[in-house]
Amino acid sequence: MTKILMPIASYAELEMLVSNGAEEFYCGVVPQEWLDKYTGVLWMNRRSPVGANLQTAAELRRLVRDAHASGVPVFITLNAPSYTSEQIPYLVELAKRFETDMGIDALIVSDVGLIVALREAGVRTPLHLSSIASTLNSEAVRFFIDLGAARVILPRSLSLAEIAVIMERVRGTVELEVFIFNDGCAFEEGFCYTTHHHAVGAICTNLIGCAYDFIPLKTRAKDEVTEEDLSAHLQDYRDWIWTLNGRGIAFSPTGFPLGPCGLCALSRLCAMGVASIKIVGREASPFKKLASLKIVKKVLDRVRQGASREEAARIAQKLKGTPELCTSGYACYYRDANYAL
Amino acid sequence: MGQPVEWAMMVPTVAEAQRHKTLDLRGGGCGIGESPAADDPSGGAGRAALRCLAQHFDTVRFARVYVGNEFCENLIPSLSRVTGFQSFCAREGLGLSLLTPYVTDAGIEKLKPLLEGLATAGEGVEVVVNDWGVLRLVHREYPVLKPVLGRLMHRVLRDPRIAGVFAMIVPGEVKRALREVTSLTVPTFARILRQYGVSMVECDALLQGIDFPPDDGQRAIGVSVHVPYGFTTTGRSCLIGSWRLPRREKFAPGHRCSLECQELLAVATYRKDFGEARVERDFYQLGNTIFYAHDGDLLSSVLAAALRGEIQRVVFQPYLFM
Repeated sequence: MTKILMPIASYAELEMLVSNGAEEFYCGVVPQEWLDKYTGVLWMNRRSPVGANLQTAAELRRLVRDAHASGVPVFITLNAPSYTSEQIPYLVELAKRFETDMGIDALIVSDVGLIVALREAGVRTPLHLSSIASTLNSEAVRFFIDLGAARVILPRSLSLAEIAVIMERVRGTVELEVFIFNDGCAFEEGFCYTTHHHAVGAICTNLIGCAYDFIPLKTRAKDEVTEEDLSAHLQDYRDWIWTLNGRGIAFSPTGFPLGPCGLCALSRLCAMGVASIKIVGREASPFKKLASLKIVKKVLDRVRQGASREEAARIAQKLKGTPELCTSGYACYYRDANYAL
Repeated sequence: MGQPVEWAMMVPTVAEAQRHKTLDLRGGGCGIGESPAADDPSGGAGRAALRCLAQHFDTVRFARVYVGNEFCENLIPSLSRVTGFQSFCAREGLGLSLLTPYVTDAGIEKLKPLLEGLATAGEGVEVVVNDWGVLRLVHREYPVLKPVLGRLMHRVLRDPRIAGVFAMIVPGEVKRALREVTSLTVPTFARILRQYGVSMVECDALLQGIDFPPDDGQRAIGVSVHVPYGFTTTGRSCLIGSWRLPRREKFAPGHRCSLECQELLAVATYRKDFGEARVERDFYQLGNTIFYAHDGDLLSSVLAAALRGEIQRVVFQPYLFM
């Protein structure tokens, strides 16, 4: 059965999220010793050390204990794009402590060097391959199965049809997880070697404000392109990026976040046998997390009750309450499943 | 002056490869007028690179040609195009490297006939992989081909907005981490690469600097560096490739296109003040990828590393193209 995977950034969010339908959690914790050594410049996982991560091991231990008491597994992110020769032994020891002291249910990883080091050190915790590894095809999924991955998180840049091909080719050998709600990337997340450090923010949001020049490379373009064409196109680009970033962390009239979503595809993702649907945003406010969980849960419940694809999509779009946004396609993870288009 | 172990050129056509197989740099970069850099649409980084090269070398004789694309499966070349390069390289005694991008399953299917064709022709052709699935495929199905780990897999910060600022202000341990080539220095990583037959890893020159491990003769994996353009980010949604599409189809990952990346280059100018320091950078957004151009200092640092024997190959791309 397809489960809802929720981000969590503090123990205080636990009861609220469990009681509203979270079925799996992912989170991060950044020890003070890491911060002391690497500052806020080198992140231990994909998110900023402050705000998106739990603050102490004690808080994580308490969270895992009480989540387990509710039957909800907890996964820990160790998914920076790469780690150095000095960092990997430290992370292996940390992973051992997660395993033996806390009973963490999975490690979310992306770096090949770390994956192999964990296995060689005898860490038995299941490994979930982060979307940061940019696993875009079934051969790449098999590469990571060979290294011991129990689950692969597919990047949000895959279409529903492309996910279906991967699912068909690796069925029965690994769990697949996909994105369902909140936050997009204008570029391929695993190949975007920029920082979201607060001094600069996401590069795609910077692009919204940059002045652009277009340089023709061929005569044909010189003849064909007009300033108006390019200006209108650039406006579309800026609007798309703005939407990927939640349109300023705004909410719909019905109270749900305006960022990207894949709810129209939910019925088909469940039918394919996707193991888990991921709500994004460890750093999001508890209010945004709860609103995101509620809409995903409502649609998933209807799918579990047998709603057809079209019916589930209609319910999702009605709940979201933003027909223009849905029709634009710019908020869709899976545009090939959008019934409004 | 010494030469680095190997020079490779990345040009779009066999005719250009033929024209520039040897660059005569005497006279402070003379011959630049005839060089492909004269067509450089991106502010002259290629021309600047040639001037910089001229300070170190009289001539550059290329020993290898790169064909293909690292960033987009729509740009995977046809078999006939690749065999055209292959014939040229065989005739001229040059090595051939096929660049491959990150791919979906459909992209894997597009690559198979190319790999089959190159494998049939015999040993020695390199395949630069930027996707773990492609590496697995090459290793399993085409063992006569030599996989090289592409620069997209060098997963380290290359952010022109702030890399230079970080390089100035961060503590030494952070700086070292930002400059490390982990595919070479992390034993478990290097071991996996060797298991998959990878003999070389590719890098961009990094704005924060890059520490190539000294080659003590024991290193089983070589290093190749691309100049004078690095990439910052790439993805399956294309600014230019969406230009002719209806609004609602634009920017969908993997969307159709008419290869508009061959027609238009977008240049976005980023400006920000960090205290007293002003950063002003041009991002070259070509197709689905953002590139940065190397300045003279960065290029000189690569050439110095080449002269010290720390890197085994320099891949020269005289101007930006996809």
